[in-house]
Amino acid sequence: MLKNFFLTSYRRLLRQPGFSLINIFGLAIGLAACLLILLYITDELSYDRFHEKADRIYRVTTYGKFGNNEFHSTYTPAPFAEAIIREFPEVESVTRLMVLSQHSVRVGEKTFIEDRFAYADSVFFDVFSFELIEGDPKRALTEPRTIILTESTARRYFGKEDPMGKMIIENDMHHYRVTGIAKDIPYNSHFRFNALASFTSLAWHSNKSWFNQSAQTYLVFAKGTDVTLTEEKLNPFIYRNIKDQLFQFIGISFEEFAKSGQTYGYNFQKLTDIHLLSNLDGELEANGNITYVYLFSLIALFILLIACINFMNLSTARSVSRAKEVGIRKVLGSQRADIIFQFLAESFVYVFIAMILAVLLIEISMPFFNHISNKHLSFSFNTPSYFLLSIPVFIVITGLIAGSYPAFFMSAFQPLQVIKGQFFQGMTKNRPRSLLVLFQYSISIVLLISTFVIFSQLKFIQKKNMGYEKENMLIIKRVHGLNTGLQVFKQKLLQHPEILNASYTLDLPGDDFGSNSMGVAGRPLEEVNLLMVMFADYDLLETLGIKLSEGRWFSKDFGTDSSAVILNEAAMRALGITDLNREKVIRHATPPYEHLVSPIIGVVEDFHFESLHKGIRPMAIYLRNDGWLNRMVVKVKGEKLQELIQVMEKEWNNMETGQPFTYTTLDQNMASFYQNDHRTRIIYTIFSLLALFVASLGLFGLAAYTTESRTKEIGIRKVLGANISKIIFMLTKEFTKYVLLANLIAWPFAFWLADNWLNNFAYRIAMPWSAFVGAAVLSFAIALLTVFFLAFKAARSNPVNALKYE
Amino acid sequence: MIRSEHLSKVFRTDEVETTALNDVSFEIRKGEFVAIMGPSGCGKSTLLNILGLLDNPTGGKYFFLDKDVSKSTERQRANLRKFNIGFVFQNFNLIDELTVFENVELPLIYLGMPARERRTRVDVVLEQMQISHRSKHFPLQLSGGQQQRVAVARAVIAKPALILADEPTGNLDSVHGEEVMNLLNDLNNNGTTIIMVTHSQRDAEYSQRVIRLFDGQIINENIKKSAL
Repeated sequence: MLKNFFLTSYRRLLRQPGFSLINIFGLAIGLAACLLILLYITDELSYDRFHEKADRIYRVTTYGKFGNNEFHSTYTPAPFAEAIIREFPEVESVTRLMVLSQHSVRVGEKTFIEDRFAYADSVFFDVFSFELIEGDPKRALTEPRTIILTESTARRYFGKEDPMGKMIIENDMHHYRVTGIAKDIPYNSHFRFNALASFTSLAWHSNKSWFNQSAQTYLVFAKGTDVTLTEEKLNPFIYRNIKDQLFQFIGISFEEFAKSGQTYGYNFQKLTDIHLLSNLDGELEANGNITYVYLFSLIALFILLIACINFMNLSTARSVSRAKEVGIRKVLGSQRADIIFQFLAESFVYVFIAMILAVLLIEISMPFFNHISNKHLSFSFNTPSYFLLSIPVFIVITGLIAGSYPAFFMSAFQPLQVIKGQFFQGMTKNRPRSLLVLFQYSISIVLLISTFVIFSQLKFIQKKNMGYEKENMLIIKRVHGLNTGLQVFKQKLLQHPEILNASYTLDLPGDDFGSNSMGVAGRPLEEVNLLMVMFADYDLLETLGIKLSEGRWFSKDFGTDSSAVILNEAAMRALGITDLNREKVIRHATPPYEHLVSPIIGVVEDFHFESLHKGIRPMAIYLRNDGWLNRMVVKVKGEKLQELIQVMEKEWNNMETGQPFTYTTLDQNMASFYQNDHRTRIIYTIFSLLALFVASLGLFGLAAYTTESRTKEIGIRKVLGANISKIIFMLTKEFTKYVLLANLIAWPFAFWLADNWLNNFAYRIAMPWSAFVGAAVLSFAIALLTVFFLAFKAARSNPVNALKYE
Repeated sequence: MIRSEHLSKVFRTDEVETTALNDVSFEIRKGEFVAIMGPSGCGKSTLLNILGLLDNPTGGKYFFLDKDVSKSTERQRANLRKFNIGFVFQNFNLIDELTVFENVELPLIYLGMPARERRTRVDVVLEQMQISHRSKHFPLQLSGGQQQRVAVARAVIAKPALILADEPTGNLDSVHGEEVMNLLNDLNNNGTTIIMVTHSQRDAEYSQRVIRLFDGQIINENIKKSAL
């Protein structure tokens, strides 16, 4: 019986190639989209789970409220680790981690600029299960100035030589001995390193300040620990440990501090939650976002659903031709269940073939998908078994969804009616089918509108006045290598007429800014505020084109400027300063540092040093003019960028720093702000076009069928005098009605979705109505084009053919 | 074998009520060849559908193999059909996606017969119907006469006690029509009961008895002398 079913399906498939192609191709696209997204989600969910103790590892986060500024960051103070393991018996082990970028590493004659140069405590490998190929995980990081390299880093540094025991020189100062080789860090880790040195190599490792947060802290709880209970014990722990330092720091007691509504504390964050759920200051790598995981899954499912609906619609629309078969089978003694089973089997045949095609599509599109999603996915028999298992599950579920409606619909045919031919009336209009088409088109339109909105917002961001110039700005990195040659190098560059301005700075838009607690001298101490801090030289204002709103910028004419401060307008508001000449700003510090009291010499207009997702935070700018500033920002004339880079490199090499010339542009420096948004835009665009394409395929199939089944009507109408345009109008009218209705249904959903997304930005566009109009026009155009072609063909045909047909 | 008592069938739509059969009573014995005749719309096909268990009557009783089946469910009727009744239609009603062989084989599949046995049985019947050389062809590749022979083969393959034929020669020319009638006649000679609806007096000549319907009622039953 089964063979007979499959034979019928197979031959029918070959006999109706157009219908089969639309179904299989649509289903294949839907399945491929779903599988790709499933791979993507599997990968997103796999982050950090490879650690043996993954379920017991937690990251410590710091939160607080100083003045009106709330913060929540991954940075923790140095003494936290030692204190927590001393006071909490349930903490099994604890390690600190600091990942630095732009370290120079010298190996023999060669110099490498290393991002992801990390430091960790010796118990690092007790906490994390990264694998060592060589070296003893228990002892490799016990001594100061020892270092573990990853496999590929070791190969870069030493080629085929054995790196164990060899020396490398960090930043031209410190010698490190290689004590271990680690396997390369997997991509699905929320932090990565190329080199990992012992934490004791850092002077900071014994820092006693609880208010100097610079490293991440991870801890392992003993099995069976109730982390919520432990977290409750943190408040007394914090009180015990920071009360003295708080008093030294801002001069008030912890009680007064708390009473004034300010807070300071720590949380435990589950390791496996970090990648998808955490978006704090100081994340070590760009994290994922659970919202996008949900969103993309939803879109992929929608595409598959659209393809399934195509199958349902086309199958039931063509049911007239199947009716005879069903009738005969029933006359010959087939039960309804047999027929249902047969049609389900048939949909499985389609889905199975579509799945083969889908796997091919995935193979082909994988590199592209990896590129746009910034992933390293692969689809092979190495992929997790549960993923491979999902393939048959997908076939069954898709087969059931696509096949059930046609199966129940067609198995209900009464043999008598079919054989008598009564059945053929009234089959072209069918309410569920109309609803399904509506549904398909509504989804496509929602996606289209969202895409338009994303485009508009990102264009708005691109064009938004940031409060400084970002075009034609080059950044030369690691300028501290110039040592005493800083000013000479600057002068040399400025001799080139195409180089307009240059300034040394520590912080630039696109960076993670440091912050400090500050207040107004003479005001009550609890009025402390958290201000972002920027360090720059005399020329930054002019180079970046930042505007002054009051006072002046740092000047060489005033010897006292090294202790002065410049605020942005947001800081003036936050500190409640109205007259800059009457107030002084105090920067709090823990011993051995002194509190710094600075006169305010100027106020700059607010500029966006962070992404437009965030508002402008209060900021204080201090003057530095030495090798502590590690980058130079250069404003150039735009036409000959490549030539100028060569000029700068030549000047750099003339300085004989022994360091390679490394540069970037301000635009690139800021690219990370919107990386996720651009990725969303690309994925959204692709998926909404796919959805629209699959829906249009379905519409085409349905229109083809409707037109075909109305051949006789068309013939009669033409005999009675209808002209071609009347016929085309008649045939397209119904479909345009659907599209109009689909637009009306889609708009409120799209509005809600787009408004939510836009609210992620502190600076957003008003809802662009053009997106709604654009989506309507586009959906109309596509639907019309699809149907028009068929209608035109039908309308042009000779009426006699149509009538002979019966 | 078949007995009907006061059978009636009424079709209702929103506005119109049409009586297709009105108080029809008759009996057909095993081995008979009966023709049902009458003008278009007299209720012939309705009667045949009820006799073939494709439809239930609105009133009266229908005994099939001495069992009252007038109120049977579709499931029960489907079961009775597949074991006992073969159908031959005016428009052949072959499944276009299946070959001649597969079409003929279909009833046996529904009976759950093993593949090997099916193959032998189908080969024999195709041979009988002189169509075995076409067994791998699809219906659309055959002439009308050939298609109807396939349909007859399919009707007899399960060795049903009853064959219902609805205008079996209606779509055939006279030569092919005669061939088909001869086939039915042979089957009847071998003991199969045949009920045939026809317009054609010539075809009716093959039967032993003619039931004439007019406006849903039997107006006369003609028993031919040869059958007595």
